[in-house]
Amino acid sequence: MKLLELRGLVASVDEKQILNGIDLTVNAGEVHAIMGPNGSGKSTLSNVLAGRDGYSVTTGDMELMGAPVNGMSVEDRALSGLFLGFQHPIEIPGVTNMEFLKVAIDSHRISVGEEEMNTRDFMVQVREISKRLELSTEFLKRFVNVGFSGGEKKRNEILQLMLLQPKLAFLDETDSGLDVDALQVVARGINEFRSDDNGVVLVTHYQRLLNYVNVDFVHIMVNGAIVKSGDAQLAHEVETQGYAGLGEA
Amino acid sequence: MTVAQAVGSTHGDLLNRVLAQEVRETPWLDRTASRTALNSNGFPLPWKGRWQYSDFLTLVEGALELSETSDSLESSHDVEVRRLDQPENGGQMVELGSSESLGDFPLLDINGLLFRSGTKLLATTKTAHATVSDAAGSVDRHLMSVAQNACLNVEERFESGNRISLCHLRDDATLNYELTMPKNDGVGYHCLVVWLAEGSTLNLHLASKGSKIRRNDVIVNVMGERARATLSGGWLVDGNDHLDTQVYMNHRVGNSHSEQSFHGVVDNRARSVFSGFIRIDRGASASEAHLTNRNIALSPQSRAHAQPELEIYTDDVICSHGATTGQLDDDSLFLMRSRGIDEESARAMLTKGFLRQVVHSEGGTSLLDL
Repeated sequence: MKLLELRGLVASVDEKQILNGIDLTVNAGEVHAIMGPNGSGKSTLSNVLAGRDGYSVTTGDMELMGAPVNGMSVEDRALSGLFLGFQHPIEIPGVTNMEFLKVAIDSHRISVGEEEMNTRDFMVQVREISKRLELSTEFLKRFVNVGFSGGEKKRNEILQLMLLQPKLAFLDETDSGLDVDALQVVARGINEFRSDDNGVVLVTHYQRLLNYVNVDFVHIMVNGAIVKSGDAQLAHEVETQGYAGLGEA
Repeated sequence: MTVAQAVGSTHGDLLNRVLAQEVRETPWLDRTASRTALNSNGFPLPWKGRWQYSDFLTLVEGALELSETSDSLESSHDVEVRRLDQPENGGQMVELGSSESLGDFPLLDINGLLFRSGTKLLATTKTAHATVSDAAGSVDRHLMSVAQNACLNVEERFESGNRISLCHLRDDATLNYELTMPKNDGVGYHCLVVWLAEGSTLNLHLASKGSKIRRNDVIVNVMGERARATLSGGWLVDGNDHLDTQVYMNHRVGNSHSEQSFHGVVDNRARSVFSGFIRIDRGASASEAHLTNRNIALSPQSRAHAQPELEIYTDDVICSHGATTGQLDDDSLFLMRSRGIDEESARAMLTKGFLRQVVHSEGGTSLLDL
């Protein structure tokens, strides 16, 4: 099943064109990595996909789960199966992680005609995932990302991913700011999540996350376009030759 | 007739009505201080200064219509209680009426002339508790004294009417005061005045919704060293409601500490006003005073006015104040929506979260549905 299809996607931020024609297809069961230098448009792609205000598609096609995305609200994209992992997870003072997660999962269930999740089942599930991610259950009582370390914020993103079980996870620099231990925990979460029924796109600067997560495809993004695609070997080439050696210059 | 003359004549008529309506049934109460203050100060100019945003004259007219007596002390524990309507208490209630005028607070003096209900509470233990309910339709006045080393917990609900509570804390006393003000269609004036002696502690927590016109003054006089005042709370004002909250924090003596943190939300066509005035008197060195007020306006027609003010007449103090008015955070909204939460629910959660940062009392969270 095609989870994501981009054809000639051109997009702008505040009327400045950043994406210059992206073609990308992600099928169920695949893990892709999009690599590129700073300013290449990786985060713009994430935001365009999620439907963030201020990011607009000029031309090209964008389909999620086989349906055109343009015109869909941010929440409808999420409910159709898209999950955006944030490069800089946002803090929400006053809203506890627990209620945030509960409302999020209930929104997903209600959208497919199911009832809200039983609180006890929810607690059991959240505690179990937290344990796997080495997150204390104290985190659940705290306000979303407030006072969390960088590693804790990223693990919190993976917690949301594992709870919501989207069809397509688009993780924007989830590895940035992580020490080796946290990186391994995050990678373990991604590996546990991946399956034949879903897809993962890892957006990253560096190859190091790919030491822990096996990817099927690597795409190099430079100046708002994918300039080269290949298998995991391509990530190693980036590591040795830099982006310049792959066509940036 | 000029506008000034017209205003002057309205003022004069209203002032005369207030003076004529002075309550005479309690001759043992000396209301002279209030009468003298009103006679010499007159009424403030409407829509100026402290009354820039709230209709002073409507509040005065509202007070003139309140002719009922009430017993608003719902319950108490470990508190010595005297009620104004019990004639045998007459001689004991003198202080309720003769408290000196606080100067430029005309509604306080109007209350001083017109109140016909009230209580005098004395707490001498560490387990004192009083619950004060709404007293719609009446002008009432409460005098609360907390003895040395004692602790009084007060839960008060106020909806409309005209009420003053005067609280005296002796050395090392503690007053924990929770004030909730539910939504109401009427007009209301509420004023809490606190005097803090050496080493005493005030913890005031308020949660409010709006009414047609609601003014809430809080006056804290820090009279002794090591005294601490912590004021916190929030409000949610919607519809066409109006809520004007004004805090006057007067550090008369140094080596004292005050902290204020208030969050307000306005929606629809509502208006909120917050004025936070901190004054550090000459000689009150080593005072520390902080104030933050954050407001969120949810609709384009809503208005939140915030006015923090500092007046410092001495050196060696630590003071900060700040106020912001804005909208819900776009990034937070985006995060929630990107997790499948619809925009309306996300906005509601963020609004509650904003208030929950400062409103934590049971009464407050239930009033604001947090």
